[in-house]
Amino acid sequence: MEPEYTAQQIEGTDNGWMLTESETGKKHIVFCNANANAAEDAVALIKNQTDGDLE
Amino acid sequence: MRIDSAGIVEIAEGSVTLNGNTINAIQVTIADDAVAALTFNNRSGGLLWVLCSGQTTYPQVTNFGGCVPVDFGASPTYPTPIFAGTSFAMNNNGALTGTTGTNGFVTVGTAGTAGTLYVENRTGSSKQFQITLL
Repeated sequence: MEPEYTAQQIEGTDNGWMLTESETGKKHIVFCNANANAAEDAVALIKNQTDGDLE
Repeated sequence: MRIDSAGIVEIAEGSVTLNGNTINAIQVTIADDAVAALTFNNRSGGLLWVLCSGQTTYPQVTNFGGCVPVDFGASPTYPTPIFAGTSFAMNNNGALTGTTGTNGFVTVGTAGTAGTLYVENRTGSSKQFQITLL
């Protein structure tokens, strides 16, 4: 099964990731916390995006 | 570039140059206590507009938003912001690390590597930012 996103670290950054949605090709730019800076962490930030408890 | 059936033009990467003047805009997701180090085509200064959660039902303009002319070139500086939300700050004391600014704030840094603009999220959760440099 194809993964939902492909992740590629952005050249020249320590914590920047370019995520591409496999189905649509839509791209997302994500900057991770230094303590959670793997491809799956970047994907989790997009998939679990709630933008906190906004009002 | 993609033009969808609603007539929306989407440019996934790059910038727009109008009569030689390059305009940059980007949307990024920044984790809590993390920093985005951003570079822009043909630009290391201009009028910066930082919007937090602008594409949600509850844009965070008056707390985490900011509008300020910036110079993040070789001699970085900025004047008093035109608008700064209650939890928006500027910094010119070196590259931001993710925990440089005040906890609870969005901090924009102009110093560090020349040509790089730093946006630090310490709002307490991951957020999407719409960043425009005119």
